[in-house]
Amino acid sequence: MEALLKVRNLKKHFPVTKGIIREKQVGLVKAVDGVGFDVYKGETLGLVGESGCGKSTTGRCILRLIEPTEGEVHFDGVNVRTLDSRAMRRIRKDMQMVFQDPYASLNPRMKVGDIIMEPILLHGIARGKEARERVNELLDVVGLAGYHAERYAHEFSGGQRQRIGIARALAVEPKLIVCDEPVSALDVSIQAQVINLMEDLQEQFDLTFIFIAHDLSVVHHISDRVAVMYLGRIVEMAGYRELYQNPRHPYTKALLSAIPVPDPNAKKEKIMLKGDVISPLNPPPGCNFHTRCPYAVPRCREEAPELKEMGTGHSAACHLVNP
Amino acid sequence: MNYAAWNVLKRNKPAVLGMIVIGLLVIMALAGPVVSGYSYVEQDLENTNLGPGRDHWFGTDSLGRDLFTRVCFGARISLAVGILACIVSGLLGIAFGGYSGYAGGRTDDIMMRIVDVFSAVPFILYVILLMVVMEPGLITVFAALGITGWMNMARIVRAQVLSLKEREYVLAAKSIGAGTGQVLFRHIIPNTAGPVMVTMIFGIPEAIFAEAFLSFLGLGVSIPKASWGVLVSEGIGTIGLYPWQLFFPALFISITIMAFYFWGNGLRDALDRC
Repeated sequence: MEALLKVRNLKKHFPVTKGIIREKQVGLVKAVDGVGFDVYKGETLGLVGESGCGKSTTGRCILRLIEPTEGEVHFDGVNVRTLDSRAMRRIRKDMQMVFQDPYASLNPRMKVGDIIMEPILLHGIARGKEARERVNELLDVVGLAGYHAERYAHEFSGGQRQRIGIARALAVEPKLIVCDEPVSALDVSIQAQVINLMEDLQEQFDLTFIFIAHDLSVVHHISDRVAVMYLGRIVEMAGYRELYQNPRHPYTKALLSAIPVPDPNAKKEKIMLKGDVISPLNPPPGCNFHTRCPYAVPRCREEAPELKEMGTGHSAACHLVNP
Repeated sequence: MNYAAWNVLKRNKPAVLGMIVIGLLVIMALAGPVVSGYSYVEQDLENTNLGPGRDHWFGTDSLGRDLFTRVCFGARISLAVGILACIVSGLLGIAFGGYSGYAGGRTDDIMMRIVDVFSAVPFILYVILLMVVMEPGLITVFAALGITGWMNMARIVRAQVLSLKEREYVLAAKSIGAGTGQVLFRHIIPNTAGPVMVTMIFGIPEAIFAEAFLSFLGLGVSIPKASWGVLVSEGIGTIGLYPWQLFFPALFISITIMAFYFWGNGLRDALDRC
């Protein structure tokens, strides 16, 4: 199967500067530090990790909403990073994004119809009456009604707003949608609705998703494959069933053990992680995770582990696990 | 402005009073000269320096011209200058500040230092410099107000743009393929409307006062045309004998400026709360 998106050694480093006239670099935040993965047509890749681990930055770098520092992004055979701004705008027709906060991602001064129509007009997909009909269709597809087009975003609930955001992303008939924590800001009851909607849409329009989340149970529901990130690096990647049943990396194990089980008598081994994610500003050498890892050995403090193949389609970055 | 803000504004009594007064002033400026039955240039040398009375509501000046008519005519010039100067310098400030904030980085630094340099020079110095190269008249007044008025707006718009450009809907606009112009004028500038409106309304009385001040110094509109500043300037010579010639134009300047300030204050409160 041909990969729709290939990401290789993607890096985004933010310099920390001091001084007003002569800026001096005093540090480097390695938000994304050598991430690589493939996304195949029609699948959903889940990207999980704690806050600040670089998963949103990865998503934005893929769309070049943030310019990556290093690395390659191939979309449909095109190296996205070499495109000029005009070609980039054109390719955005094929890669879209759904944002985290449905309260912040819709312009408060625009009517919903205009918000959805904007990409249609920008890419010259339709005009005038035809464009309005397309907006109505899209509203219908995401479970809203045509008359909603005349309202402003603040008149809707969080779930409805996220549907508007999805309709905007769908308006240009993209191939790939990067979903940046699309349900984290919603109530649990609404989360399920929105996720089901996205699954339906994936089938209907033959979409490919990169689904970013910090919640493994949400990702479990929608993903075909899952990549776990920690401090700017992918620590484990596998098919969703494999990852949930046979996690290899200690961080993945800790994350999985933190999922609450709806049974008060259930006994299970809980791996409690000590402390917080260390500051991405000047991280220590060796494995990023060694400061919190219950199994850390001296080697972990010295040498950063590579992502190693553990079996078919399963890879992990840890010195202690072997195929 | 949305409905909720309008409701708050409606309950603010000084603001409503300000709006009513401004409405009356506009009506007076348009209809006054017609109602009074005199023309602002018509001299009547047999009835000079009359006090306020039935024939001449505000009295007459040293050439027998009806003061009420002249005050109304002055209102036309003063209001027009105030509002126009404010719109022109407002648009300039929005464009400059908007681009500066959006571009950010070094461009922003340089553009804002230009603003600093412009605002470091005192207003009166600009006026003196302009006098060297231009004739007194409305154009000079506009130029002076234009040069000095836009900096404030540029600073405010820049600050707004700096915070708005990091919002997710701006990122969303970029992700659907919108270019710089589209992002700036469709998504960022419209969302600065509240502070921009308030700044503009506060700018109007300043412009009116500046115009009166320039006319008072003889740099504004030329006689026999009359702005409030010209009338005050004429009236001050006879302050001992015929004080009403100074009193009426001065009163109207004060009322107008206060009305605009009340309105601006009310609007700011209303927009802050909603």
